[in-house]
Amino acid sequence: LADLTNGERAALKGLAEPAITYARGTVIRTEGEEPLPFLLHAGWAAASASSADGTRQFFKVHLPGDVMGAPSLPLQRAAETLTVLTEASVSRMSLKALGRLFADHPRVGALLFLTANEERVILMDRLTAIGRRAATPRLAALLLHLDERLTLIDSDRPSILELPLTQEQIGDLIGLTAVHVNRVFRTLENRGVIERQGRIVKIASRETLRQLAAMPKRSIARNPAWLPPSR
Amino acid sequence: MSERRESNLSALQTLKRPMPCYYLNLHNGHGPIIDEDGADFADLASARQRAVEGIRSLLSHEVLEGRIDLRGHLDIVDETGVTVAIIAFADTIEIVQR
Repeated sequence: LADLTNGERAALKGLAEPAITYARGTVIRTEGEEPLPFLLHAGWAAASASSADGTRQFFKVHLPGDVMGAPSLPLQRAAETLTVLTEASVSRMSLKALGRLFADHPRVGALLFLTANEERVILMDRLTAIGRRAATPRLAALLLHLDERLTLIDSDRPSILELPLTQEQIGDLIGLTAVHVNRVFRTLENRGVIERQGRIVKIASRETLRQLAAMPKRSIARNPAWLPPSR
Repeated sequence: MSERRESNLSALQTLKRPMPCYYLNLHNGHGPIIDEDGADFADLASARQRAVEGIRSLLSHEVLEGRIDLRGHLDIVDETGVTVAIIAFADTIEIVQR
């Protein structure tokens, strides 16, 4: 979103407590616990919540660099369970340091506000896809979103996704059953948009995937002029 | 096997005893679509229930597009590769006509 000063970078780094490496499948935080945020340094994670029928609904995939659990900050108890989908390096974030950050670095505070709103746009697009799009565009949009997010982290990466998600979890994210997800993957393969080997998905054509997803491309406004000055 | 168990997170949290794994393979005119993940179920009845929900979900999207093809079936295959149930699409819904 913006270029940071060294002081701002240091303040952001100061939010994270020492990193812990978790084995795949480890639950880091369960819903109902203290609503602390976490920083995902490496690996994939997911946020989920239990349903009334005892099943678990996954609704957010976290990629390296993400703050996790932030939606629960306004709550007395955490709304979501955080689980690592791969081996992952995670830090707890200090709420005391977060409070100081808002006071000492208002520009970073504003950037965190923007990040939360960017997340709302992602959810708006996801809701639009689930509410108004057929199954194939939904999966196309999810794959495109993950591909674009990973490219932000590493611009030289090939268009290959190694998805640590089960088809059921993918289905949760786009409002389909696992059986349906399996068939939509096949549809995308048959159209030559992706190649798939187990959980590795190679995107043959980002452009075709974008057309199939039929979602507007969201471009981030970097360094918006209205932000308060750096301190 | 261990990979699947580890990634089935809800199962991991509640696992008291090993649950059977079933694969839901789809056959509906697109060639066989093999379920490579499989999933843990409490029993075959639970797998069958999930399969029926999956088929109904597929058909519901077809209804939205105005054409429904009931010629498909879904095979439930156990961990040894044996097909333990075959569910015809047509058996998962009741059609009431004038």
